[in-house]
Amino acid sequence: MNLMKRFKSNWARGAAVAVLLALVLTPLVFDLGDYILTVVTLFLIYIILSQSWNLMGGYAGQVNLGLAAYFGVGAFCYNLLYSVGTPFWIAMLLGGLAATALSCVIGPPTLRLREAYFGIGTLAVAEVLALIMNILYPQVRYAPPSYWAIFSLRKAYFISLIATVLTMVTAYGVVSSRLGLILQAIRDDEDAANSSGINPAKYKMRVFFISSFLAGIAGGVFGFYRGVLAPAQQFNASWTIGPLMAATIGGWGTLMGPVWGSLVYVILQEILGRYVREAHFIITGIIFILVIMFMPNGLAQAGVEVRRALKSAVPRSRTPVQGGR
Amino acid sequence: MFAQALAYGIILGIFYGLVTIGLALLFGVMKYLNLAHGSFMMLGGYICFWMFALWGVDPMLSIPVVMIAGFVLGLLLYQLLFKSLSKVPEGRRMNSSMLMTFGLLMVLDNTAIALWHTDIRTVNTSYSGRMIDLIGAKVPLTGVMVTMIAVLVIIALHLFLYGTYLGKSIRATAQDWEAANLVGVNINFTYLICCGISIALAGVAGTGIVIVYSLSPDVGLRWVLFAMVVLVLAGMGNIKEVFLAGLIMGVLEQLSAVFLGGQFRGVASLAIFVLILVLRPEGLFRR
Repeated sequence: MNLMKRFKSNWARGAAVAVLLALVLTPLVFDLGDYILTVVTLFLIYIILSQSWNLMGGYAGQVNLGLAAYFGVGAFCYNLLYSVGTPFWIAMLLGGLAATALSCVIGPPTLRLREAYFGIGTLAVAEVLALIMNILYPQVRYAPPSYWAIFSLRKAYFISLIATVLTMVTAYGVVSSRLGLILQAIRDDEDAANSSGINPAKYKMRVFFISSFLAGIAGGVFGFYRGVLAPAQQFNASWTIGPLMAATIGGWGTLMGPVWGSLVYVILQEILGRYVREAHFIITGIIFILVIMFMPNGLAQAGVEVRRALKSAVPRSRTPVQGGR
Repeated sequence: MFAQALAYGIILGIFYGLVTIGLALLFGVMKYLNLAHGSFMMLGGYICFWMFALWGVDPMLSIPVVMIAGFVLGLLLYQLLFKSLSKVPEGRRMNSSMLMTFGLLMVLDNTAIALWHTDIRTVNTSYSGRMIDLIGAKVPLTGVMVTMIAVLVIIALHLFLYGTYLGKSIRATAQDWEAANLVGVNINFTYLICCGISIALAGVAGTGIVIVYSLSPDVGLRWVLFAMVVLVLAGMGNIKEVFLAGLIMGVLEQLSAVFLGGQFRGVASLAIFVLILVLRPEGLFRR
């Protein structure tokens, strides 16, 4: 309730409720077809992943280049547990917890590193995990027959919708709490935060837990949605690059940035994948570079600037010119 | 067995040194982290491969061509991408360049896949399979040749950095770019040349890799990661330290491959990496 009270802007609240209602009702009322449901589910999974990345990179300033490891651990654990008969939602939760457990191991040594060094460290960890998975599980793992009995795309869609809503609520909770402020203080100046009595390591570790848990959940949801998993595939660096790009396009350190970014990214992937096929990674790479060069604060910043420009443009046209000629 | 592993480890270590020095030059002097360094290396390897496959040019002779091509690519890299970052503070410069080159890595790797497919390539010259005896160990001739070339390149780089005016200005810029700017060093030009040399070194490493090991479009990221492990091990020191760290890394990796089995050599490198992070984090930040 406290959370909702802080949800100050009526407009934002109305919009969020309207979008949520639309997302829930549309698939129930209309038959959207497999294609649209697939794309929207992927979009939702991307929101979870890029929001998880954003909490870490955007708010706390810790650029994690190993997100794929947590996503992969979540997907893999889900798959293992589900195939021995655990209910899917428990398997998903445990997948998330497994990812958190991984962050307990990886966090303490890597979080001591600053700036780009942290990126290097996490990237190395993820790559080596991918290497190990490639050795241990080279084969595709099929889901048990019971899975196909309960699976439907609509179900996958609703599961990912629930996970996405929970992610957004978690992110909102983190950002609007003391933790969020502390994280931003650490991002802006770690030494200053440290000298005003904040222990950066502690809070960085905390946000790392949350972020890796969310990424693990995303892995579980993805595992349910795909059914058939090649374990090493989920550890691939492309699962880091995608959410990272989505968060960058949308704007780091903003709550809605990952949502807009994921929207743009997934649509871009669909269009490019359809028309240019293999070359679409090349074009997304170029777009990513251009965004970093020319729009480092993403769409969110662009939105703010447009609004500011509109605001300043309107009164200027109305007020008479002072001190006439 | 031990001597054999040691010999292979030294060759691998020289490669690590070669790849890392290019990376360290950009990192040390410009505070730019180039994740696409391995991809440039891969491009260099492909140039060598195609020159051999199409025109039968001996890979040793194609090294100068690859170096020039790499130098030009490096100039382009600076002019198109890195120049926009040359005025931002060092911390952000590192992060932005890391992200930018993450995108670049994607572009280069996928371009290579689109053009040349994912086949694994090697260069098979008349002397490729030949082995020579070195104090109890059989070593491939190509490995020895590439090692000698690598050593020559490193010596040349050392002479350039410590013997010429431009090299002096590069070292000055590495220490403090603002002060260097004040005493009249052209920072932009220094950065430009540095970038060119770095990518040219990546090209040489790529040539070596296609001759001694094998090449496919996705080798870049793995090599650049190992190079970064070496960079961490060296603690961002000078050329000699980087080279020594590369040797240690290569020998350790080969020995661990002997004792643990070849598949797990990457895992051993990670263990080393994490150990250094835990035990000697100052190795990272020492100047």
